[in-house]
Amino acid sequence: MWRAAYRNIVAHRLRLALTTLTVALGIAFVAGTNIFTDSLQSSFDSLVAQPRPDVTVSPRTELDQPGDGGTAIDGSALTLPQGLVNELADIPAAEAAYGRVTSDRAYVLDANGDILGPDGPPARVTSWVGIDEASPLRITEGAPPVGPDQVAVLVATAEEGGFSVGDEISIATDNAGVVSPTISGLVSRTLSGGLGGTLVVFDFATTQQYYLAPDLVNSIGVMAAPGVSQDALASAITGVLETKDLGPISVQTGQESADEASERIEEGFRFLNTFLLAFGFLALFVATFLIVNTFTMLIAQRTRELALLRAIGASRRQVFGSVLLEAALIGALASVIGLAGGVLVSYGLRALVDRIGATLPAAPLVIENSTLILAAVVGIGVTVLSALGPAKRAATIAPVAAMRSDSAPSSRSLRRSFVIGISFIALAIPFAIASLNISADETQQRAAVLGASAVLAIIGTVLITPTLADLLFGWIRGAYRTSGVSKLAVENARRNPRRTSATASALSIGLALMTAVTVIGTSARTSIGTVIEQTIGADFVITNSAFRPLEPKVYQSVKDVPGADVVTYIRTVPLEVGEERFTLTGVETEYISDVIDVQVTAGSLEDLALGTALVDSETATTLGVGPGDTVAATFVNGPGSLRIVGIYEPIGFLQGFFATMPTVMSIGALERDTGVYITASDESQVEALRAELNRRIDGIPEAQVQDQADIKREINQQFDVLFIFVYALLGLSILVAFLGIVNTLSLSVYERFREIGLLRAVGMTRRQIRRMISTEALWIAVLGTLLGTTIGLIYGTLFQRILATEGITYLDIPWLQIGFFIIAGSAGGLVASIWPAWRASRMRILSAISTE
Amino acid sequence: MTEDRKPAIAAVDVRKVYGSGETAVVALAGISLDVPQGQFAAVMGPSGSGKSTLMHCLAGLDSVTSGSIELDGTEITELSDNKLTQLRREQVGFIFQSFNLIPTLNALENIRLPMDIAGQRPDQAWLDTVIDTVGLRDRLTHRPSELSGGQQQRVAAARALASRPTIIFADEPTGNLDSKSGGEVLGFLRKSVDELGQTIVMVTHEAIAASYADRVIFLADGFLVDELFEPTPERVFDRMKSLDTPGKAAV
Ligand SMILES: Nc1ncnc2c1ncn2[C@@H]1O[C@H](COP(=O)(O)OP(=O)(O)OP(=O)(O)O)[C@@H](O)[C@H]1O
Ligand SMILES: [Mg+2]
Repeated sequence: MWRAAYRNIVAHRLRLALTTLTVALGIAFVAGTNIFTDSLQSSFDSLVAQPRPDVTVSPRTELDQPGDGGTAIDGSALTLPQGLVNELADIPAAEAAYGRVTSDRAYVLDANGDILGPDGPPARVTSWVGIDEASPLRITEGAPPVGPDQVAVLVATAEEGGFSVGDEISIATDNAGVVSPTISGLVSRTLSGGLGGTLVVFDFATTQQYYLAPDLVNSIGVMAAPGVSQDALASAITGVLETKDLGPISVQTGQESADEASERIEEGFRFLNTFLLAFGFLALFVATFLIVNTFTMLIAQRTRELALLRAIGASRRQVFGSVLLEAALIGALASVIGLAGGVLVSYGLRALVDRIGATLPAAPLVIENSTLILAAVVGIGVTVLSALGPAKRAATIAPVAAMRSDSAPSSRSLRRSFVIGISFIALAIPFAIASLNISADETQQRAAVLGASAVLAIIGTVLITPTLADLLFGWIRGAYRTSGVSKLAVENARRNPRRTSATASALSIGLALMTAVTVIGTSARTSIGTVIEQTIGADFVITNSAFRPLEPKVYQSVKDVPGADVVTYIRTVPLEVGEERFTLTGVETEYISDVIDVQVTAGSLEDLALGTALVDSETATTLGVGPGDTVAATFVNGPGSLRIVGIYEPIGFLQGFFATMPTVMSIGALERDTGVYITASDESQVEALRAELNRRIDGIPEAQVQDQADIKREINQQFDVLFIFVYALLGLSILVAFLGIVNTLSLSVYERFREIGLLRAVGMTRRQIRRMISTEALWIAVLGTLLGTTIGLIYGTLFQRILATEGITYLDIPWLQIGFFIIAGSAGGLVASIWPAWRASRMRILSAISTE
Repeated sequence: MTEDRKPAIAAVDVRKVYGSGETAVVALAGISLDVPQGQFAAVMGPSGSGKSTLMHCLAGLDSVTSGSIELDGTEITELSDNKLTQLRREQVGFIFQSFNLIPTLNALENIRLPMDIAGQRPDQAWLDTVIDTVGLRDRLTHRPSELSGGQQQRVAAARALASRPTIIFADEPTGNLDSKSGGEVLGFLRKSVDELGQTIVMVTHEAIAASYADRVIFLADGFLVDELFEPTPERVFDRMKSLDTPGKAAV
């Protein structure tokens, strides 16, 4: 039996190659995902393991826990007195202490004065530490920076800008405008690559001068004396700090900060991991349809052969075993190929993730044993499980089947799977209704219930597809008056509804997801666009292109711009009520209505005073407060309260608390503006105003002037990148589905070789044969595409309704794009048919009709 | 009776060699043959004598190694695949031993198939004549799997006739049938020659089948070795027996 299994693989190598490829693609994705995330993990591990001070002392806000390293608001704006550095260096447990100044506004400029690199990643600057044990930075070329005219830059930054040691480089500073120091050296991080963005390094005094103020530092690093543990040092430092009144301060040991870093990284990538794995399994799931198909057909073709084996004495178990063994061998081969493909996929994923803007550390490829095991288990497991059904059927072939001339598989009734399928769909409906009825706050729960409904609907549809195919193709068949090429093609598609629909289903699953994602994405885009139109009344908004707050000098330089009617700014600051975090937006009450449309339903913006706030109606419901109530909250500078004096309707990003600027400043907001809003006094002079605004912020590279259209365009671009990412992932399952069409068609061409020979004999041309096969493929693809887009449309729409509370208020179905999916999906079917059709047309007539 | 009619097919010195060198098999060793219009010719000979090969070559299903074949005045040995296909569609009808019908089409659709493929409207009156001659009117909507072997072969015969081909080739059309249904099919072929003026070349192993023909051609080892007109089963049988002996001696 071993030999029989082996012989079969050799004899049917072409068909098996296709099956192997299909399984290998799925595995490539799963393995690739694993390799990608393992590699990422290892590079983050090295990032976590990098040198850091034994204890870091940094200021914090009241919203942060004492052990946290992070801050709720722009960290570089919080400071400690420089005098503390020497005091800490003097405690016996400490060997040394140093002050550090950091900022992420050190924009490196290119020759045109534009910010180097893509928007988003921070433009970091740090003061040179010079203690190897405390800092991951190393000079790789040249020397550390000394004095205001020298700077060291990260190797990656130098590469990106084409700088080398000795060159002049333009860097934006907070206090001295754009400076042009000479590059004294290049720095690299130990153990791992950069985290994206740019990094420049000045000496301590220079960094302090450019980005902070005299006698202040952003944080202090302390190294322990020999024999002193990090914890002991930390408690000694805490002891010293307790004698002073410096506001909330965080004292974090090196170990704690490493732990926090790794936790944050894990959290950040857990979603991506799950997401990618889900797509990998989707591809495998689609692949199982095709594997089952292939084995069913292989067995059907070999009925006579297997029956003969049974007739000459092979036991059921042996036939069963030989088919499973065949499957296992294919699975093993597919695992090996898939693993190799996985390496490629992991590179592809990197490129994709890079494209979304998250620059990842350069990392060596890590292939863990678990990846190898997973590939083998999934590859062999999926194939063997898929072959189980066909193998069972093979084992029940009666020996007499060898004597029957006709080996057509008995067409089992479709009714059972139809009934089960309909029950699944019937079950999906109450789930969908329930998801819409669950309280609007529980978005996650609603999405989960609707997701369950979607899974039920998809399974149900897969089960009823054979019946649908039978009905649809039967109907189409009836519409043809003559039995030319087209009718024969429909007949062929209808001949084995199970096979046809398994092939079509593989396609429809991918397309359903693609359509749903497109509907949700387009709706989100439209909703945000509409919100922007409805809320922003200003002609121009100035924001930071790196998604950070603006320094007050931006407002200062444009506030008296001629041609403007109103120039105002807003500031935001986080606050906590109970455990939940909200945003408090500070506005200039006399101007805000001119630039932002706030739908106030109770009270008014003009009546706001110190310590009072408006709140949006949803937050009010969540907190159970109304006008006149006082809300106890934690602000960045400690506990306090706000009195609610009015309610407004939330729209999109417009939510949380509104208060006057003095209120916001009184609870610890920084002198940083979220945006500056400008309205023109004369609508015909808008372009002149734009030019003047741009001229005024010329020396502030991070500031950008945008009108409504610009903002929308920027948001659209972000969505486009996201779409590309999801499409690229879903594309894999669709590719597998098309391979399935190739597979099914070549198998049925093989099965029908006599019929094709007969058709050729009675006068069908090669071209007509090709057309017949292509038309069959087209019908299969059309069936899959239509079902897929229909499910996608239904569930895309339902998800939009659920996400309406999360800001996706408007349903926007991109009919054009969905039409494109339908056409492209069908065209894909045609492309998939090229090769099988070509083979069919080349079949020798005589071998077809003279084989018994 | 052959001299006064134009040949439907004329083969001159047709040779067919499979393979080359050591393993070459000479299937047809130079056969010349005319089949006049309206004649029912049977081809007989021992197994491996080249009957099927001859038929395939004459029908343009296979290429010849040398020689010429004219089908209704057209030289077919040099035609392209497309031209040959067109020729088969318009001028040639086929009946094979088995697997003659497309399983997904019903009897009527199978009969009309060559015309549907060509996109031609069938001549309805002629179609009715053919269907009635075959005697299948009440079976037209049945699929092949719902027809008996004999009925299937009659459908195949009707299909071959329906497009009014110049010539019909039949390779052991009754090989899989019992004598009763075989007789029905052969009777029908005979009728189509007598009443419709059809030309038929039929390969057969059975003397009784051959006796339905106007003429029997005997092949042995790729040579045309004998001919017999107005055959009766007995005469055919005798000739076959005499053929077997020298044929074997020649190998
Ligand atoms: N494709 C081929 N390749 C090689 N040799 C072939 C091929 N087809 C037929 N032959 C050989 O040509 C010779 C004639 O074969 P053919 O099929 O014409 O015989 P036949 O008279 O039809 O026999 P039967 O009565 O058994 O059907 C035989 O020796 C056969 O082995
Ligand atoms: Mg033969």
